[in-house]
Amino acid sequence: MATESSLNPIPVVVHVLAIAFGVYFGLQVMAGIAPDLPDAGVQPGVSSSITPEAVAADDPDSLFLSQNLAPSFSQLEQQLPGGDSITRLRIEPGAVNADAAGGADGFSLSEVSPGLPQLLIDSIHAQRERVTVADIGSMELIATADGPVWYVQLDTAKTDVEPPWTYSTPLEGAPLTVGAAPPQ
Amino acid sequence: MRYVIRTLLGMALFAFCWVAIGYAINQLLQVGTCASGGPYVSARECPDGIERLMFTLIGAIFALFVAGGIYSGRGAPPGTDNKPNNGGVIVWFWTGLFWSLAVGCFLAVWGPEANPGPGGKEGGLIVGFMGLFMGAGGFLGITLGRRPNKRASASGLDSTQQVRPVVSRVAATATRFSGAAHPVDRLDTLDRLRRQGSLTEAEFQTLKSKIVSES
Repeated sequence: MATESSLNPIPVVVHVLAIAFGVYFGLQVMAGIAPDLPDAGVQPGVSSSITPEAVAADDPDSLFLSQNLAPSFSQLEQQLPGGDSITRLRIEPGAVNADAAGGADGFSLSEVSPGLPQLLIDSIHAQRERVTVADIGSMELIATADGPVWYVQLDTAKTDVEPPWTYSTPLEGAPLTVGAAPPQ
Repeated sequence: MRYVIRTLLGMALFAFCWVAIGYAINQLLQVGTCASGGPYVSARECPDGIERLMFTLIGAIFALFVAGGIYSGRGAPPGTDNKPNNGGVIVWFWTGLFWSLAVGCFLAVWGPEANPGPGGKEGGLIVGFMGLFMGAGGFLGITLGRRPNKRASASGLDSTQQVRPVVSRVAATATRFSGAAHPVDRLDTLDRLRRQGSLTEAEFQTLKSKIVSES
């Protein structure tokens, strides 16, 4: 069979040269435009553009407020790998962080209502008038064998109210139970 | 000269695109899921230059078409009138595209410097194996297409005719059984086949002389 390269070295030489040049040039160009890679071990999360610790629970920028939490969720969602679920979601006034893992043991962000933290604070305030949003330290939604559970932790360094300083409630936000500590 | 220039340009562009595609998907898998923009600072902020990677990946796929176009028109090698086999373009294009994706993915997952970002390992394995099998399809297709055909051998076709595309083999058969057709019709058919590229100029002239002498 007569082929392009039968008894003729030119096609082979030209092809090899072209491939070698293309590969070399491709590697040079790609090395030039490749970005600095982020640390693969960092878990998804968002924080306030100012120092997160400086944001107070009763600030207008506080992430306990639904109008601030909703956009932070959409930014957090982009960082979650498809197929992973959240095992722990921690909300502080200036930051939201998620622990994500493969498998279906956790919950998805779409199951979490951004308005619920504010409702929980209102529920606690309804039970104990002295507790206000300014007394809340953090909220965590943790995947348990019985489904996701919210844990609300009062800021013991700031609050002057008496214990109990912890509350828990299922994903839906009711009933509110006093005194349950989040699992470590 | 046309052969050398077009082969150099076409193949170099093919190879450039393979590297660009493999490198870009590799880097994207190492970045993993990330967020950019928005009112808050993301823990997994997309690195600067990620848009360039996306653009390069998509651009390189389109550039493969350009490479295929340049390479297909290379003509016969210098010093010969052997017709180039453009079936190979399918391998360079299709198999090259999917295997470069597969190599980039597997290096991101299993390579010596593999450090896939969140979701990168699962995504890399899915895309890698998909690319491996998709590329193998094009490779096997062209390889099996070149295998000598026993039925064709029995019918007396020579080896060149065995590897010709279907259109060319149909043309050869039509020519053999066209004794009853009018010579003008046969010449028209031959001319059409030559314009389609199924017959070389030399083959056309030979068959034309035969028809003219028979009539």
